[in-house]
Amino acid sequence: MAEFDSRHPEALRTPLARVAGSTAARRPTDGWPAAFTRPSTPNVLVLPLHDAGPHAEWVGRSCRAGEPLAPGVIAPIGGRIEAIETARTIGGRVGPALRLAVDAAMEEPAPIPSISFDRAMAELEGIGQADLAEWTGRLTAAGVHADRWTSPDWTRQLHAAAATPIRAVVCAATDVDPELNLNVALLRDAPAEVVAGAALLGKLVGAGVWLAVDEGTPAKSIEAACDAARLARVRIVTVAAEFPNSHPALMLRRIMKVGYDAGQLPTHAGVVWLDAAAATAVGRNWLRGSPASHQPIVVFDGLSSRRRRLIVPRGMALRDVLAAINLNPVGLTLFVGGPIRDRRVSLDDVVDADETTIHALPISRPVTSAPCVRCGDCLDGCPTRVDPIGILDAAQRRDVGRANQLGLSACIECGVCSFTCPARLPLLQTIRAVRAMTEA
Amino acid sequence: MSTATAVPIIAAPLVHSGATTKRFYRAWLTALLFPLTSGVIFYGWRTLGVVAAAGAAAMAGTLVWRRVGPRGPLIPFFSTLISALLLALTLPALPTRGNDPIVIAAFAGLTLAFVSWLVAGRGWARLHPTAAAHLVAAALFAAALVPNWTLQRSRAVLGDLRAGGRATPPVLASEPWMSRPPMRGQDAVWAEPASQELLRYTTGREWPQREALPLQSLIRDHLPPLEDLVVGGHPGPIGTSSAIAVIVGGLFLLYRHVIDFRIPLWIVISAYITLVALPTPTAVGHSGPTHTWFASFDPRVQWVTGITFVHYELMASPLLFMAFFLATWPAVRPMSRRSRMVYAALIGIAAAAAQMYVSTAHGPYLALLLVNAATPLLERLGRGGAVR
Repeated sequence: MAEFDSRHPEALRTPLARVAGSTAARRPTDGWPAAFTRPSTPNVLVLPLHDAGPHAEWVGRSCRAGEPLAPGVIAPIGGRIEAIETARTIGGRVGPALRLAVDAAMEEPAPIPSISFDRAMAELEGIGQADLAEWTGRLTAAGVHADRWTSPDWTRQLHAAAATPIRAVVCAATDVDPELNLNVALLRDAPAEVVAGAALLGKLVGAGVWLAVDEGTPAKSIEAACDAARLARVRIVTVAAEFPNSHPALMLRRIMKVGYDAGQLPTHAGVVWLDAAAATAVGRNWLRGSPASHQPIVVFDGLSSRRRRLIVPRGMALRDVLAAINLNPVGLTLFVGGPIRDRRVSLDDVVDADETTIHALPISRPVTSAPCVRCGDCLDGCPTRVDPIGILDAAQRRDVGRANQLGLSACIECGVCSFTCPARLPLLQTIRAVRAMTEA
Repeated sequence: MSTATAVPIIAAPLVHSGATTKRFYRAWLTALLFPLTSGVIFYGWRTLGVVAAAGAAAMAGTLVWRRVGPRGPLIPFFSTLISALLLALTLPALPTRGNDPIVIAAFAGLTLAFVSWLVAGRGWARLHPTAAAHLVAAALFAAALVPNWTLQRSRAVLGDLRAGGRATPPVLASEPWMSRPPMRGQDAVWAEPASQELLRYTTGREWPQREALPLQSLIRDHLPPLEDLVVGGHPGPIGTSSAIAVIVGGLFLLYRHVIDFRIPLWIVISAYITLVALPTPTAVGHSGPTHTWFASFDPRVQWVTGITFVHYELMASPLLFMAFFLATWPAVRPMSRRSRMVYAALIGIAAAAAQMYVSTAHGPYLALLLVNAATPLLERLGRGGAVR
């Protein structure tokens, strides 16, 4: 791991100009990078709710784009709320949701003037820990949230930060699948938002800010981000982030030599952790006043080996996402968060503030498992030295205590054990089942 | 978790590395070709008969035992096949005159099948079937398992071990097999295996022709050139008598990531240190042996002689074969890395003691069985090291 050398012999351009210049490749309507495709909005959106309710009062009402509907839920586009139904997000969360019939004729709200990066840095001087509660409320109300592999439950982290001393804020521009590099693309194309968002959080929790970059990222591609980081006094570190090392528990151990249980939040180790996508949402809200009604995602087409970076409205079903990019899902299995983690989603699952990586792969029928040959590959491959086969054995004996002794709580559910097992034992799936039973 | 809670049925993972148990076992079979090839070179085509007999008997026995009791269906077929091949490699291609190697190999194979049935299911990680079957055969056939014949270099592979004649004259016996001039009229030559000579000396059963037999004289006059134990060409079991062949096979297993390097490494290291330290006779007289701790550093013994003795002990016994192929067998070695190092160190110490004072030819197998009995305990102690 080394400090990133961001110097570039372009004497004619100042760092601020490079940061500002990075805004040139943007869509004028919403400020998202032009490299991200915005598919046409479907007729129906199913917006997952984040609170207990009641929400019945919303049924039958019309709303405009950007209008707050419920705590943390913003209407991505205008329309009429038809019903409340149960929906499953691509992150696996099941709960009530607002069914929104899109009305494209509804007038878009007037854009809020954005503030420049240097002005934001000037404002940052006046922000401190006393503003944490206010900003937490503001960001939560604006729908700024994340809960995924590269960015653990962000809202809970902020709440925990109010009661726990925080030593650092880490913004990781790393991805589950480096080939898809969504976070790297955001860092490259929206550096002002990413850095501003991370710097803001650092001020709010009273800690230094680190920007973690995969060591394979070309320096030239993120020189604007490096300039922004320098201006915002954000420290850049490079780290090997190949899977499964992109998990915060493992990266934190490499960067700061501190650890925490996979089942806990990074705040347990005194760190607030978010990825570039989450930092972008924070930065957009601060710089542009934009609510988090849309989500950047990346879809990998396993047949053509193409990746598509998209900005989709929250509540959009995967079926509609794939149709918008002309990807026929027949014969494809959809995975989120990386295929090795074996988290499958259906076409009815909707995009929300959780997973951002979707692999559509042509997977054949699964084979049956064979008896364990005690090769030890699962133990040797586990990045947190959990004993997967021991946990499977404990599960078969219904011995939860033994499963905990063997590291059940330390498992980051990367799936390397199942991936390498020559007997094709469902090790990861068993760990998830045992955890679910324990929590139930 | 309540006993009333149903364990969910979970399907195998969809995305997979492609590794299969068949490839795993295929790597073992490929690695065993190296010691098998050395056996064919030094002991001729009869080697294959022994291997075939042991394998066929083990497979036939397995098919029968698979139908016996609830444990029967739990006998793993591929695993037993490899165990049978391992067992064949521990047997001589031609035992002492008057004993049929095919009969002995078949008996050993049937014993292996029975032991596999005995340990199937709940018995794994406590008993290595190959080591157990070998020791049963050794106990029953005793002196019949002592190998005495080796093909001459000019008759390698194609020669017949039964077409043997005189023993190698002492003047030729000091020449390595690779450069020894041939003796006319015979395919094979007779020699006392080094393991027997060493055991007689360390246990004091070696009767000196003169006043006393010092360690230097043992090495100079009674043992073959060390090169014959390293490369091959000295009487021994089919697969354990060429250290190079065993090491190459072991390296292949390491290359395929099938075994953990810690086990053979720590077995050899701990055995070496133990052999240096254990009481070794500096001389054997008519009144018996004079044992000395750390004999290599005794003024009566030059340290070169002492270290050479240790090298002979390592090469003349099946320690290397046991370290690479038996102790690393997944069914008997601990799963966690920490436990494996302790396991290997214990085996090395026990093997060194067993081959010095019990049997040079069978001591490593005995040590393996003894430590295997403690494998479950080692596993429990070594697990639970999750990074938090």
